Amino acid sequence: MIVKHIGLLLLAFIIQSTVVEHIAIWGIKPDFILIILIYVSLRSGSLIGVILGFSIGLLQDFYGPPANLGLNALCKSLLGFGVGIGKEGLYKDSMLVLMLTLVISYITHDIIYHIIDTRFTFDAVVSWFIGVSLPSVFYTVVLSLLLIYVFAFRRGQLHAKRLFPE
Amino acid sequence: MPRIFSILSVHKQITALIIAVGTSIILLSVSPQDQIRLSRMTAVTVLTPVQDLFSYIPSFFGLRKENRLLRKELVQLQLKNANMQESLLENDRLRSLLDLKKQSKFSYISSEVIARDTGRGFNTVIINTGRQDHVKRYMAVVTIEGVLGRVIEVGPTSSVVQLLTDRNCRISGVVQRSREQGTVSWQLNTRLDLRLPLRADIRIGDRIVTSGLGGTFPPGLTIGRVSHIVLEERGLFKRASITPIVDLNRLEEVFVIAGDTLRSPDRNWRDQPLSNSDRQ
Repeated sequence: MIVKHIGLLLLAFIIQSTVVEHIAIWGIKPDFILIILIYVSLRSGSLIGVILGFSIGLLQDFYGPPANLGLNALCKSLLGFGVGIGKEGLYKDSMLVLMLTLVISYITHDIIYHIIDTRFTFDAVVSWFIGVSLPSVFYTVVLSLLLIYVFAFRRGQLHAKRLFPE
Repeated sequence: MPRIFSILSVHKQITALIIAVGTSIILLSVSPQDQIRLSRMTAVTVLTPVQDLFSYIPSFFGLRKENRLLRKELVQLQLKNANMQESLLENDRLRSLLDLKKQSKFSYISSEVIARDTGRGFNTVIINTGRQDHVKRYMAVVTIEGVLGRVIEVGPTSSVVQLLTDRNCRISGVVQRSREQGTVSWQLNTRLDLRLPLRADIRIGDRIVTSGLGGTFPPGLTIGRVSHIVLEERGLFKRASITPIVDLNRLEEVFVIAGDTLRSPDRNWRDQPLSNSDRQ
């Protein structure tokens, strides 16, 4: 299963770096990597979440500016750990719970990222959060609903039992 | 000590988190070393073939080839035109140019953008040309519209381009009309700024071009247009907000400017001898 999760994350990374640009709306892009990392963390727990979050974050940092090397790794490690705690505690069969998890994780990740990226300039953080992060959250939630519909749909009912089997 | 290890082994998640966070903070704190650069380019080089394949998905082969040829011809004509505009303005300003020294003739390495920065900012792109195509670090990268950025890392078949929207990218710019000089830089992930003295002659709509100082970017390349001018709080300088001329949401074909005058970042462009073709 770990190999499958690594493959999913790599695929999400490649799609994010190549194709996503072409589905952006007014410059707002969804985040496939975040969707898959949250799925992997909820499925496998905090330890795998931290390790894979750090790894995929570091890969993202290799593609980003040298001055930010380690930033995505930090944010994704924290996200993987935090969401992974929900493996036992969250009611994953509820779509509402999954979407709330995604929204809260995305917002927390972006706040930490921009605070460090802007070197604690809170005006810039607020401006970026309202102008870019919030629309991206919305787009990502819509996309994740589509993905869940494609992979977990059964007899007209949307539920998450196929995504998170016991 | 063994007790600590036993506690850490029981709480594997916490241990993994501490290691991951600690490593990330160390990476953020240190400046890039050769080992990190090597790891980075190894990862980019390994993934480049797959990303190159995926980047074809939204495109059509036949149209792309024709587009490529036409864009290459167009960029050569536009850059020549930009050079001639600069020459005309310089001529009017100085009135006689008996001892004019111009930049050498450039050659362009046609490249395609195959991957983009996946982080929250848009600071870098990956292009599909590298050492095998004679790309070197700090070479300027342009599109048919104007300045895009510069090469910061080079692999065998791909390179990392730092865009002008990266906070660490600073370009020496000049107002094409009034020749006021300043440094163009990206501010706090929100805008491109040109900082000038308070009495500088600059207006909304002015075109900002590269000055050629620093040696990375040839002079006369369009950076953007002034969209807004504000005074700084202390009143000694003013800031002109610049709209980049390049549409960063539609990057496909780019051109790396190559030539022996570009290899040293410290060389001044205006010291280069005029080539025969440029004298005509």
